[in-house]
Amino acid sequence: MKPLALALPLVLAALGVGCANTSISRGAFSLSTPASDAVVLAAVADRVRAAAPASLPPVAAIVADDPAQGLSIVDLGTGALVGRVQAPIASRPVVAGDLVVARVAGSVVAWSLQGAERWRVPDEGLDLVGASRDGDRVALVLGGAGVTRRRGVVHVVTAGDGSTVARTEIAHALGLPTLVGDDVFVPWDGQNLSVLDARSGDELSRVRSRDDVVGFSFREGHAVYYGARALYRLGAEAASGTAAGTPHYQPRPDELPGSAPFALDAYTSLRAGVDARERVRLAWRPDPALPGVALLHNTVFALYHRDVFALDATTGALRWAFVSPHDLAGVAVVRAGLVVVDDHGGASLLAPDDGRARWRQALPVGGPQAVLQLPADFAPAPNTDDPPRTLVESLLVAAGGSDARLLPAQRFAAQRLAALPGAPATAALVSILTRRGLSPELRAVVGEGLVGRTEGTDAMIEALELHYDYVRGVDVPPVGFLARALAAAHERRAVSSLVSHLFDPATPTDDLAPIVVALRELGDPSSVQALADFVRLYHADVGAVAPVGGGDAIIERDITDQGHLNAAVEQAIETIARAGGAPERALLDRVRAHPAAPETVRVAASRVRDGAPPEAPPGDAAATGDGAAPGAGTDMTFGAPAGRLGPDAIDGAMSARRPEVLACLRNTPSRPAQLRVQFRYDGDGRVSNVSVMPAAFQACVAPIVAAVQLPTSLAVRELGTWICPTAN
Amino acid sequence: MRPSRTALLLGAALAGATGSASAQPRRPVATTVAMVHPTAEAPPGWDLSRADDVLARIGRAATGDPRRGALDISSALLAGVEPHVAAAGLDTLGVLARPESADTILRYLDHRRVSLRRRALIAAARLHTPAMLRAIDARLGDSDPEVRAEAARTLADVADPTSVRALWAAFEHEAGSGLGSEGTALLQESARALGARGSDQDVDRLLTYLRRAPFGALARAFEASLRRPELPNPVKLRVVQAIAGIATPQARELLTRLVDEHRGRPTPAIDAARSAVSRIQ
Repeated sequence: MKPLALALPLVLAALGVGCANTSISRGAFSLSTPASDAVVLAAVADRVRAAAPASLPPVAAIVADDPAQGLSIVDLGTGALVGRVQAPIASRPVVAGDLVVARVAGSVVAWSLQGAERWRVPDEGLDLVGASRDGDRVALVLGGAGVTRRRGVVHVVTAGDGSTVARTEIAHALGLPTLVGDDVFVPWDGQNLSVLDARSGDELSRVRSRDDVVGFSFREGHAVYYGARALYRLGAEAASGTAAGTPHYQPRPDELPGSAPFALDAYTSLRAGVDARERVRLAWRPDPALPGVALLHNTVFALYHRDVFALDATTGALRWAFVSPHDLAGVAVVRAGLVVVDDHGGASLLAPDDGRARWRQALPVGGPQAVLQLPADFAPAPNTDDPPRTLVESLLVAAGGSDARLLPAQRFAAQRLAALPGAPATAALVSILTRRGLSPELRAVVGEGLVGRTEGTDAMIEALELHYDYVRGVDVPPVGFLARALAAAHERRAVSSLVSHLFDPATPTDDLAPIVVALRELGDPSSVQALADFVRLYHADVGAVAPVGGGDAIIERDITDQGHLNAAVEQAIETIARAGGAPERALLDRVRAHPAAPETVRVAASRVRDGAPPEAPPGDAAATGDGAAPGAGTDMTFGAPAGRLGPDAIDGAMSARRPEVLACLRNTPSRPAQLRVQFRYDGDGRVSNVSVMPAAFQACVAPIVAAVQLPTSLAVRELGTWICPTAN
Repeated sequence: MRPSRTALLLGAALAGATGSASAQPRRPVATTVAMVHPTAEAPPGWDLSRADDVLARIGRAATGDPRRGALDISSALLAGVEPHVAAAGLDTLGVLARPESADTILRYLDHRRVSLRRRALIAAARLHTPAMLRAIDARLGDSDPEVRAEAARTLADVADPTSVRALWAAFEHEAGSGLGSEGTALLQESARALGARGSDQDVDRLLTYLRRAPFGALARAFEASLRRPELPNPVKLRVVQAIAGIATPQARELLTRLVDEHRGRPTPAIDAARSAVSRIQ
């Protein structure tokens, strides 16, 4: 670092202002240096505005499957291979104009797009954080071990030969740099954005955020943007140091697949090759032509391995979903849409309005990581005309598939599908719910999404008409969810199918009680006789039976199944008591006197014969799984605890401990928008095996969650999820 | 409300039961139905809450008037008894083989207990009405492998050509499922049933599965075919020649067993089998 005495005159000279207008009076990155005032920052913004952006060749640097084999450079305009670099790449490469820069075995190396080494400089034991090219200089930032690892180097070199122009080593964490003319913009320590003189390394001005994080900076057209959790445009207003005082784009706090952050942590370098952080993130690009801070297409693209979800940047409304046949190795937003490159070398341009591919190009190489450099006006000629697809259709695709990694994206698609009105969305939900091999978690999301829908019940009834058939390959339909949904929709056409499933041995035992309750809700008198038959058949169905052909008697039903069956019989008894005639009531007398009947069944029969109101278990709202208060217009309450807890029941129990959980986030450099907590729970409501994402909060949050007492249920060992929003 | 599957089967079962009694004087349908329909209430004098008492009454019913016994047991089972009592009741209904028990057996074909479904299948096979056969066919698609195999086994026993289509569906579903040289229980039983009850064309069709389906299951089918006295000799000869053609130790073992079984009863097929055994090393 240069001595203060030398730095000060240079700063003043560069700014061309008197002492009254400069806020820099100490060394670069000094903690005691005050933030610049509006005049200084306006001057910086003016310089950026006046600088002509260099023309960027549209290329992709595609890292080999084994990064030790180097990378290939492809011209995305022509699809031609431009060059190859055969060197063991140790960091995610950076495309900086006509150079590709990456860390290689103790050095940071720059190659031409044709793959010829131009120069190399020592890496000084640090990772490559970023590189920015403008004119005949390149600004490199080294560090990359996280915002708490405070050592970094800003190295400005000549683009042609790598000779040092300026070098500053400091005890601070440095973020992604931007070079514009003679100004180097460097975020540091999560809070500051300093503007250095590229020729000397001296600090010219500084933005200090008092209420937000600063991690990246980049140039787009005639503007420089910065931020981390929000996007700011550099200008005079930045002098306020507050989000409120500075025009910015604040991303919506929506839950996205994988809880993708608005921007990747700029203080931690990305690996070469597959880096999971790149696969789960948001893609966006500001539009400098619009006033303030606005995104191109007013859209944020949420990536999740193979999936892309296009969301309205203002409202969060989902516009479309796209599922790539292969993992996405790189993406870039341009005015014409979203360019995606998959790891098999397939490149596509997705239209911003509907997500249809308008251009496809098979690249000569593929790889797990594609770093794209595309000017905003990159617009290849359309060469494909995919048929239009509705949002429902695209979500149906995104919610399906057998790739287990995509579960969060599938869940997101299913949730968004459930939020859409109309019969097609209902039919799509039913279609997902009846798929083979559907994960229990997705099944629960889709099933709960069906309950409460009143449009498109034909699809539900049609699904309910199917019965399991091993030979024909027909699976058991999701009877429990369909029963609840059809009852809520007052769909009496479902009665005969529900009765049929009540007596189908393939119907899962935990679906029986919802069927009985649905029959009660639908109130069709014809179902009373069927319910009486059900009670007759199963009220004393306890104990062991000798197998066919002889031998010791065996108990064919485990305790959980027996509990589910008892709950269904109990519900049927309640229904018979309400709607049945004398013969059915006589049946109840027999049931309550039967010594082999389970106690819960006998008690239920006694209760209803004595005229007592139906009994609700403790935590009834939780047990229903829908959080409805007793008597709140639904009679879908169960006399026995539910088989598993619904999200509202979990949230209700967990929210009481939220303040303690939020305390774990105090004084952390990066505050996630939410915590995702997964755990196991048993029928007594005990919580175990707590897993917290981000994992950095595991140690603090897990003991708090493990101490929560959930409502009781019939769960043996269920998986639960709690999303804890962290916004105040 | 549309009738449930069980209700449809029940109606058909009753029609079948009526049909089986066609030698009796024609009576109004309603009377017939009322006569054969159990009550779903405890028969007079039966205390269904006392399992020992019910078991004793089932035993007595088995040795008394079959029609009365079937009705009483059927009524008791529909009214609801403990599962071990239901097992004894179904076994007895199978022995009695009375049409009055049709709706009870149909109900228990859909019971949630595997052991009771299997017993109901055996009882249903004894009734042998078209509706019962369709109900047994349906159990080939049961969610439990034991029940599926039991269904195929009972279809082999009842010898009804109308079930061949369902047996083929089960066989072909399982033929590609692997599981070594024996295949699943359903494959084995459906193959045996087809071999034992299928037509000449069915036996020829089974031959096309040699080398494509587990040999153990096919061996059961061909053994059953070759034991059928009514199967034409040319068909049996084709079976033996096809088995001889694959020339494996398992094929030789099967042919040897056939030769031993038919010693002293020469036929062209057995002669061919003997010749093949001497040829296969």
